[in-house]
Amino acid sequence: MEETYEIRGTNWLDSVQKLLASVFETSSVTSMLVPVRHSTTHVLMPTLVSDPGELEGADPFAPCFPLNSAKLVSKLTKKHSNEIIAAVLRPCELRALVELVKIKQATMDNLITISFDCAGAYPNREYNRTGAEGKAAEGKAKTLGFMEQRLGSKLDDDTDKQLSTSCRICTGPFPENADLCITLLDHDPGALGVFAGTDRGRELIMGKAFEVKSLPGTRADTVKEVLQRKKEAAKKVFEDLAGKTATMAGLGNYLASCVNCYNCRVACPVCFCRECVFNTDVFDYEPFQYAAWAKNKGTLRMPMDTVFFHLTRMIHMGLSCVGCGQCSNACPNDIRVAELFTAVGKGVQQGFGYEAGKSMDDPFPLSVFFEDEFQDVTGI
Amino acid sequence: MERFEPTIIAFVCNWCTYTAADLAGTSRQKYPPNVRLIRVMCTGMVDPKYVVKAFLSGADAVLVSGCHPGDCHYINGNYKARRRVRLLHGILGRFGIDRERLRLTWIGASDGIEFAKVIHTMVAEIKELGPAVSDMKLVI
Repeated sequence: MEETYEIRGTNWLDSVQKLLASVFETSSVTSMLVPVRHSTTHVLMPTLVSDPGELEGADPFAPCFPLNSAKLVSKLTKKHSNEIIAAVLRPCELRALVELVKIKQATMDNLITISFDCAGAYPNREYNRTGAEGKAAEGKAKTLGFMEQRLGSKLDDDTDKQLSTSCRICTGPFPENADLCITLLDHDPGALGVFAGTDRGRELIMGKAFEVKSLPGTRADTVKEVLQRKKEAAKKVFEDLAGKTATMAGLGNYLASCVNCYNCRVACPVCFCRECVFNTDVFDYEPFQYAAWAKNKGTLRMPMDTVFFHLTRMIHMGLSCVGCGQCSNACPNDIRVAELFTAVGKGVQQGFGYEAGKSMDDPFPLSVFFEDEFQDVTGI
Repeated sequence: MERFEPTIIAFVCNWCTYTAADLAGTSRQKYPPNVRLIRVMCTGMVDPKYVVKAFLSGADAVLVSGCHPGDCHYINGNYKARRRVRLLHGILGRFGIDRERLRLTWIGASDGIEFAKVIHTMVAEIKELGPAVSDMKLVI
């Protein structure tokens, strides 16, 4: 059983700030990527902090998830550097990072990952409507109220209608494989536990002045209960989706209000192409071609290639989809793309016996091949 | 009602299946005219996008056909194609394009008769299944 250290501050944010400050004190970490409420704008945004004094604005637990930080970690680590960086990531951000490391768009060589029991987040527009964004005291109070309610109800999603669907159906809200894993469920209010998920993490917390405690005995059961609830919620959402998109026409209707802005692609942490083919000359048709297609079919939806774009995205990122839901966050027309990509992603990952972001040891399915496999795919 | 004549797009590799198709022709093997052959250098270069585009542009079925395992001119292109077709089966199957409509076969260069047989079988089966995307007004 992994040893857990307990940290008790005046509240959850105080506790986590203590932990993060101690990482600076006792390791060679020079900077840390963590959501910080800025002292002038009071807007919460992932921030690279090198002065531990600035951690007092750090708030990784807020129901505010402006973007998936895996892409930011990629910017920080894609080339070798002697700086040692720590990153506080939601479990889905960590999974996305694992996928990026596999395709060599990030490394974990000089990176300490810190993750936590994720209570979920609101869609961006919803969070901005709470009035917490842009105000210092309100933001902090909002986070603490949210934590109290979420942890008090043991992450019962039915008690918080504002939660995003992706968080509601997330079956990986608990930290796995992070160097430091922060546990919140079943601790006393305001307190948190931390245990090491890797050898590197073990070195990091050994000899710290925290109280050693075993994990709350009820944790395993609570975790199971939460996952069970979320799996059932996911099943319902996916069944509903499957009914709506059982045909290509159904898929077309689902995506009918798409304006080809490609925001979902920009927001997606695992849409990995350096240059998207949809931005290239391949799709820069000649004017006469549009006219010919219109004549051929009677009508031509402009913009065109919408379903084609989304299907191509599924082909590219489906196997790596971690279900973070940022695509829905980014959609200007409220198309529920996250459900679509999550469902397809889960399906194709199962087909390859793969789970995105679970382990560094499982190779990305399209990066390997074997002679005697998938015999059922071929034949007439 | 007019009899349904399916359109089948076949991506065939230069070294095996295309040569087999050529052989089928020179040996006067007959096969239905529903298939449009697209010669590629290897099944390993068939981007899944090509397959999706074919369906969205009105193809009723797509055939990807190349060298037998171990015979690939580029050593392993056909193994990569196999994984990609598996991925496509997983994605397209959810949206009503069943795996019967996307086939992957291995046809060697000397198998002209086999090539004609495969096209016969496929055309007959797709005729049974009917058009792939019935509502062509959809958003593409």
